[in-house]
Amino acid sequence: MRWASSSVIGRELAMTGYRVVRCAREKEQTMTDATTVTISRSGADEHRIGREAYLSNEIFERELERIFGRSWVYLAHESEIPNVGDYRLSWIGRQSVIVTRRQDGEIGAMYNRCAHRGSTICAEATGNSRLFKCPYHGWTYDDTGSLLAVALSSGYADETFDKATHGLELVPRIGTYRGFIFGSADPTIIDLTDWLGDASRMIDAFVEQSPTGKIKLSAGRHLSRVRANWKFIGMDGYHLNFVHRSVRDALGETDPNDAAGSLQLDMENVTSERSPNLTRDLGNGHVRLDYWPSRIDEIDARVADVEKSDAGRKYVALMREAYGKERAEELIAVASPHTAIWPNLQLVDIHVRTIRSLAPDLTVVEMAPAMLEGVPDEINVGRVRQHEFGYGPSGFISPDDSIIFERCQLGLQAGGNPTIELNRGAHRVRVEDGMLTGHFTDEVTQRGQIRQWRAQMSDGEA
Amino acid sequence: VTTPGSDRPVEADFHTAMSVTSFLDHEADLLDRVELEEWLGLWCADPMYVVPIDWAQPDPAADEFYRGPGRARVCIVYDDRARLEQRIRRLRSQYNWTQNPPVRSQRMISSVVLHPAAAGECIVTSKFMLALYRMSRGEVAVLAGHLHHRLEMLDGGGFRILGKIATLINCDASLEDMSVLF
Repeated sequence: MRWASSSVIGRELAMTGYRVVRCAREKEQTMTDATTVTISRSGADEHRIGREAYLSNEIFERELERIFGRSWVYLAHESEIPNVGDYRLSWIGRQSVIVTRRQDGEIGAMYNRCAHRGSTICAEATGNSRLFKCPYHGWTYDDTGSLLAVALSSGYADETFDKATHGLELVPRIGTYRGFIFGSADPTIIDLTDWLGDASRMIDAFVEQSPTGKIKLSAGRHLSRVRANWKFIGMDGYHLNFVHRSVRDALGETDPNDAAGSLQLDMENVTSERSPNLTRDLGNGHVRLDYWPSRIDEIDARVADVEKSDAGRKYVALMREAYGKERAEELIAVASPHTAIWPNLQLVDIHVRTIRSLAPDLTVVEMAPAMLEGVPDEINVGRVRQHEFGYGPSGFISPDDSIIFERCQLGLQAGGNPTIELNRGAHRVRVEDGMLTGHFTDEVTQRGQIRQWRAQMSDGEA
Repeated sequence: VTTPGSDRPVEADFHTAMSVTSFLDHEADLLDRVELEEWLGLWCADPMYVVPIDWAQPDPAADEFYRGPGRARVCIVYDDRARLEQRIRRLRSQYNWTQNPPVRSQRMISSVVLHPAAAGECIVTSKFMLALYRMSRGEVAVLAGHLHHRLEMLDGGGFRILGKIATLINCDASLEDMSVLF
């Protein structure tokens, strides 16, 4: 049907002399040689990826269809829509999605596109409403997407117009895990639990920073606009001392008891050749920088550090009560799972990071620090300050990452070698705890993501 | 110079109004000339420098809000004295890639309004437009917003900054590198 209509439109456009803009579905059917080569070359050698993967519009369109259209995409956190009628906008690829807390208390997700002529029916990023009314002709839907009323309804005959089939399109699959809401445009996708696999344990470690096991994304969020391909927003243990060296200069003689000071020590210890820390490939494109080894070594010091304040002592006590001494202290010492959950969710330090790809060379990164339920207020205030130090458009860390990604995007315009290298540590990768594991600076993480990318981008034979 | 909500100009004398305006211009000029250490010298020992993510700001003592209940809110910048000094050291670092090559700025401060304030202090709001030239892109970006200053009036003339809130008109949108000081 789409084929027929788009070629009719194409003929009409040709008659008017306008250039025909080919839609994504047509492109998929006629994948050019360059795209085929980029995808299959990386298929032939997982230590490299074609530079076109970061530059090409054609590949980007295919990513919207194959990656964002056929994955469990992180949409929102339940704490962002706590009350009946609450909603927030989110995205599956370029498609705007309204995530709602419906009148029945359930979570729903529907595409933000009027069933009539396609206007978005909701423009506010967040809000509370039980009805969604299209601004164009007044078609009104409830929060389950059902069409309640059309304006001037005599224009539609009862025999031929069934309101029940003119509701908002629902996101075919919705799943939640410990407050994280995922949606998939693919009705046949495997269950969310299977998709997350081992990564669900990392979500556990993230939310169990709270003694109640619940977090709230209630303190606000940073939004960073990066002029680079979304795949650069990765998990890289190799760059810290290079890209973020200015942090050391900034901190100078700073008190190492300061949150920022301990970060400085971390940077020196974790990225050296002798670092005990690891890169992990959890499968399904989920990857992780594993700080456990160095932080478990310092467990007593790290817990003692938290216990320096009254609020910290209370927090540690609450954690011990909730999880037992050993698990509580491990959670506190490790502090963050530093995990990327394919394709668009990351848990970095204390924030929930969402990656939204807008174009091959434009990405918006949302970074919301997780507030802990059931802890003294001062603990959460401290988390907000710790987050601001590093992240967001004026943080001491994010802006340098963004600029370096932008430089990669520019640099890759140069031809010559058609690929970039992801082979660091390929000679020493091993299986540990049932997963591919490497040194903290090895490109185990990049290879894990690209393997999944390749599997979804090719026709499944990879 | 007028007081919002009042039908008469602030009783503060013309001299104070002029000094405040020229102080704000001086501060802007230091930032554009990247005289960051001299700029730091304008601040008190326990300052509050905030670039919020929220457009709606409490009035009038916004910096007091951020010392209190606003502490729980994520900000783009939330600096005490130590963090402000670190921020300047980072801007000076040769490894700060956002400044490689350096980003040039020129700004204009306008619509300066004096508000009722405690004895010995001035609360001043103003609007700014700030052009940034990032050489690596060959592009000029224009930012706009409003400023809130709480100033201590020094004996013998001059001011010291107690608190400053810089609110961008797109504070809640996605932003590119904002390493610039406002």
